[in-house]
Amino acid sequence: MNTEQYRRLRILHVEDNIGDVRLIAEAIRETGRDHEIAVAFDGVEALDYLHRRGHYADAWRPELILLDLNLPKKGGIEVLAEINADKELRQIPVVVLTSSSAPQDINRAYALNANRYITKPADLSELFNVVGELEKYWTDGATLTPRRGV
Amino acid sequence: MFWLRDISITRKLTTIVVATSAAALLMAGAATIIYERVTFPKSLAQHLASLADVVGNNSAAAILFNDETAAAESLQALKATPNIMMAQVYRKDGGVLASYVRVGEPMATLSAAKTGISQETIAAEYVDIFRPIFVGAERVGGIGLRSDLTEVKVRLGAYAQTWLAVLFVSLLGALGVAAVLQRVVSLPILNLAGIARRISNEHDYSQRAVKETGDEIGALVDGFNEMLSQIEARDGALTQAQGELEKRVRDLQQEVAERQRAEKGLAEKAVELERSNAELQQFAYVASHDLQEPLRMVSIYTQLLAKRYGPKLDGAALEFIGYAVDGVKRMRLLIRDLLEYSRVGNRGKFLAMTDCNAVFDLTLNNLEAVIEESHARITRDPLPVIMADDVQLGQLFQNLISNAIKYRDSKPPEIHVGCKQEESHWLFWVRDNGIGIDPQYAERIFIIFQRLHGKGEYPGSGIGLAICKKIVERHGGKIWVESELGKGSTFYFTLPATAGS
Repeated sequence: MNTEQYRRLRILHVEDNIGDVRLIAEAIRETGRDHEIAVAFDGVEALDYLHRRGHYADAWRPELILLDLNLPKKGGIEVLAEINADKELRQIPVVVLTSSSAPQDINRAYALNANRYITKPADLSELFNVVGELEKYWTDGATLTPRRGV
Repeated sequence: MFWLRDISITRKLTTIVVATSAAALLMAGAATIIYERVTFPKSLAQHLASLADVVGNNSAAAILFNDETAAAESLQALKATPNIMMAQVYRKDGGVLASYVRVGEPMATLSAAKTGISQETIAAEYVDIFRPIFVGAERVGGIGLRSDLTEVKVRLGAYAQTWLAVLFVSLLGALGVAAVLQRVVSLPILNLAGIARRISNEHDYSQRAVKETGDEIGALVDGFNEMLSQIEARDGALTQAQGELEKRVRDLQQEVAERQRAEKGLAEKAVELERSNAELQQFAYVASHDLQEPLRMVSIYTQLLAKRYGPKLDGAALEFIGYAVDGVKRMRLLIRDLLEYSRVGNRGKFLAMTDCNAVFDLTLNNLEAVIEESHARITRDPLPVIMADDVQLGQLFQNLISNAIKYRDSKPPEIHVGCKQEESHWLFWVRDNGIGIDPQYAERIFIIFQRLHGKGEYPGSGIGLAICKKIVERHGGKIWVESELGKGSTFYFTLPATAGS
């Protein structure tokens, strides 16, 4: 196990498929590090969490958002649009993690200043690679990828 | 006489009868008046002669004694007869002894006075009479009278008035008689006309007129009834023919309607087919897309299971996991291919002018690694510019070239892409020196997921040629293969030529 010092990240994972939630948790575990992960199962819950509404009044501010696009109640693109419209929330890096590879989804996500767009890998080692890369980037990197636009 | 034509037969008959009576009466009246006009002056002259004889006898003595006064007195007696215009007593030599003149009349001497012979002259306005006067057998003088014709005129006027009254009454009588008698002729004709009108209104040709008389009208009724019989027979035949005609028209209309229904049904089926085709493509796309999600779960968790618990499992468990992983991989491949296949119809771009040379060269770039590894030698003829979807055209070239490389035998692949124009289309071919195809499978290889070789020999799901076929057909062309086992294969396909290319 890795015993080096690292910054613990607070991650909000917006995902309705519990299997995917667990996979990301497992992939992060595979990196040997331990980050704090909150899960929102739909778009409305994600925004409640981010705006600290209802029983999320005491929720911490995440340092990274993993966002699925195909969500109940409110789609990922709408969530992304609301994040982008809020001048505080827009400081949080957003990684879109979805099964869709449709060009219009990719374009819309980047138009709303998503930091990365990742199509969910079907191969385990590929998944571990992607998550490992992400984790390394956001923990070890001194700075985050600058957000596009304002 | 034209006005007679259009009045009713009743009036016609009445008019004829009355006119005939009037004509007869007119002629009778006219004859009477003419007769009276001719004969009356003669009887007037006789009457005047008698009067002259009486006055002459009274004047005889006056003549003998040449007594003018006595003669004039005798003449004065004529005052009692107002139509006497003038009278004169003559001496034997014709000289005037005495005269009488009605007031306002001119005096005239009768020419007969000199001759002494009895004479009467009937003029238009008067009658003159001269009578000799005798004493014994000796003529002593004469007397002349002139009378006007007033009496004649009065009498003729009375005649005319009487006659007019008779004429009026007679005509009234004739009118009454005619009104009754004309029915003998007009009633049967009117009956006949009534029946004719009823028949023409009701179109019931079974009615008959009743024959009431044995005359020409009776014959007319017979003729009319005979005509009705013929019309009835023809009408029956006509009605029957019309019925048959109508039935044929109805049959025809029904046939046309059935045909139209059938055509409509066909058109609806064509639309339905097009719709269900589009739905099927949409279904294939959605299904294969959505199928990938749970499959990804199965795939990735199976892998996680193997990775995390592999060391704790025995050989059989690992083998089972291996099959599961392999199955999932194949499933993913199939779904990916199905998705790609459905996209050819579903996601195609519009056709645009496309340079086949550029598309082909790009394809070779994509296949660079495979070409290098297999030491394939690929040549091509100059290719045309055509209307095509460049992405799909590239896919077509790529599938055919990679197949040609994949199904090679021991020697390095030699592949040539040829092209020539034939009438309205371009014929392309991709010729290789590979393992070839048994001709009996020449059609089967274009069917989706049909494979001729085990997966161990040549990997793949069997989608490539199915996609090629779909692309060519979408462009309005055909694709086929000519080959023999061990002698290489030539894949042909056609693409429509565009004007000026």
